[in-house]
Amino acid sequence: MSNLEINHSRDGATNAMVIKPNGNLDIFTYQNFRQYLQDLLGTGSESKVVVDLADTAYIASSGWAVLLSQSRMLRRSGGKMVLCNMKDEIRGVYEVMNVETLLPCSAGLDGVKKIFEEA
Amino acid sequence: MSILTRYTLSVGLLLLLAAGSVTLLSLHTQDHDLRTEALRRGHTIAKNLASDSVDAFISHDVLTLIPLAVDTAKNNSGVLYAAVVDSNGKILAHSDNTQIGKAFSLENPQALDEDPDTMQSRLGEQWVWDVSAPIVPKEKNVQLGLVHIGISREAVDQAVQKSLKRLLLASLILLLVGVAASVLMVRVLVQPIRVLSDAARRIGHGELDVQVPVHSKDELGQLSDTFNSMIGNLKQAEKVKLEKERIQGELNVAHSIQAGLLPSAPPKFANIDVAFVCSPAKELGGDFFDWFALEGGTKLGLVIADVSGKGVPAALHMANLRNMMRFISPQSSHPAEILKKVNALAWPDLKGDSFVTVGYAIFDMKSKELIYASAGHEPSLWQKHKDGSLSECRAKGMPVGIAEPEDFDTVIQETRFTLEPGDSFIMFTDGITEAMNSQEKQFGREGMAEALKASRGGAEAMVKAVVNAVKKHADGFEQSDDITLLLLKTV
Repeated sequence: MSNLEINHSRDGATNAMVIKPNGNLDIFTYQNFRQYLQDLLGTGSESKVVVDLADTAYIASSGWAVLLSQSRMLRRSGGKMVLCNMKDEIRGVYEVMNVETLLPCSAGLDGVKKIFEEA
Repeated sequence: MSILTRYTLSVGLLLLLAAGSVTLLSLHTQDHDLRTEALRRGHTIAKNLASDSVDAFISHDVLTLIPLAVDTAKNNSGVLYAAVVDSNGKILAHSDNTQIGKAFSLENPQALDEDPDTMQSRLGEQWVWDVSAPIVPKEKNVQLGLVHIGISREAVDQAVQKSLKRLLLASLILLLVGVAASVLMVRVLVQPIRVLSDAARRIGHGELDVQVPVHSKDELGQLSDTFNSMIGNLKQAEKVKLEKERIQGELNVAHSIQAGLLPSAPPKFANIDVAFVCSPAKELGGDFFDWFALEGGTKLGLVIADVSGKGVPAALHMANLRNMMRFISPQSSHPAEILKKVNALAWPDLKGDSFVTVGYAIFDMKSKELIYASAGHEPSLWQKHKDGSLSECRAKGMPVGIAEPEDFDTVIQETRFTLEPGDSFIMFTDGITEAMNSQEKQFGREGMAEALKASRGGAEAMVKAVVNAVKKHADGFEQSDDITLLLLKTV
């Protein structure tokens, strides 16, 4: 059974909400993660959201479903979700899924500003 | 020993002790009071006789003294004798004439503790208290003689005996009433406990409709109340258990239904050898695979899919997708076109909350050409027979259900290549590559490649080799994802 701790903070440069899960997003934790995102983003007040994956080693399909569904909701209300600090193991799956148009990814936190500006 | 016996014995013993002490104490007190009273009376009688006798004593008037003694004995009840004795101890007058002139003596006299001037003695069959008083003339402090009065102790003894009988009777009644009351009280107290015990026994036999009557608000009433709520909780727990069993039963049925949705045997065509494995991590899995004979059996469609998540929702999506594929697959020999149609149909159902990665290959059995499209699925593998080398078959595409058809359709592409005899094409789900051991190390594509390279023989043997390698890697660590693998080998 994996444990998941989640933190969030405000990025000064972009004014984006940075959410940082610490642990795997898998079959045991995805419901917690979804609830956390819903509680934080449900009001619709956030338009720029970054999910920092520096401390995440593995994302199961249920974890990807949460990220993609939240990203889609943000896009519909004019916002954007960007992933960053993705580890190689996750990048492999991410690339296979070809979802960069729906859920862009930046190497580090510095690059997300550019992605937000593209929209 | 039952509470009733124990309690009754205790109460009986206590009452016996109490009644015994009260009886002894009151007898002692009565005995003492009666003795004191009798002795005081004796002293008064003796004093009166002494003072009456002074004149006659001085004048040696025996004829006056004798009637005085006789009258004293006759007129006072309980006085056994009265005697007037001179200073030499000689009896001058006595209520019993035969004693006159004799020396006054007592049989085994013993001074009383509470009154040392009084002697206790025997007179025939009786106990007697001999009370004496000096004969002293008025205004002269000279003792002339003594007056002896014999007081019978029998009256006191009889009174004490009578009291003893009464007290014993009272004690017996008290004991009987006390014991009867305690039996009654214990019965009243024990009755609710019996009811509870009976109810507990019935619950033990599985009767959960028992209710214990609550008659009071005391401790026993509270116990009964607690008991009733315990029965309620047990009933609730039993209900939950039954519900759980029902759900488990339904899941088991669903599992066999789902297993029935998957092909039970690989396709049998000339010059190809197909084998598969599909084992869900939970009762219901999100993995699925299928095969279709297309264009009159000249082409073979092989599909593998992984629904995000697990359990009932994943199983429902899986069943839905399997049916879509069965209906749509005959419509085109281009896997990308089929996946576009599948996404267009599945999108409204999934809407990004859940998605399915799908790998779909169409193999031309005549030309040995394989066209492959992937909806975000794990890249498949192509193992060449001539050098044993492995290459990844990647084809661009997003998972089904996460993007609207206009986005999905622009991304998806096909890849095509031709298999040589002995080549293998391997499709699988990430449950294999992501199978972990206790150190959370994944089996990986490397593990997969090693297992495939080391394997010899037909499709069945190769599938088994991979499954065994995964099991060896996991080393008993519970798999968290479904494991599905589909292998086509040309002959």
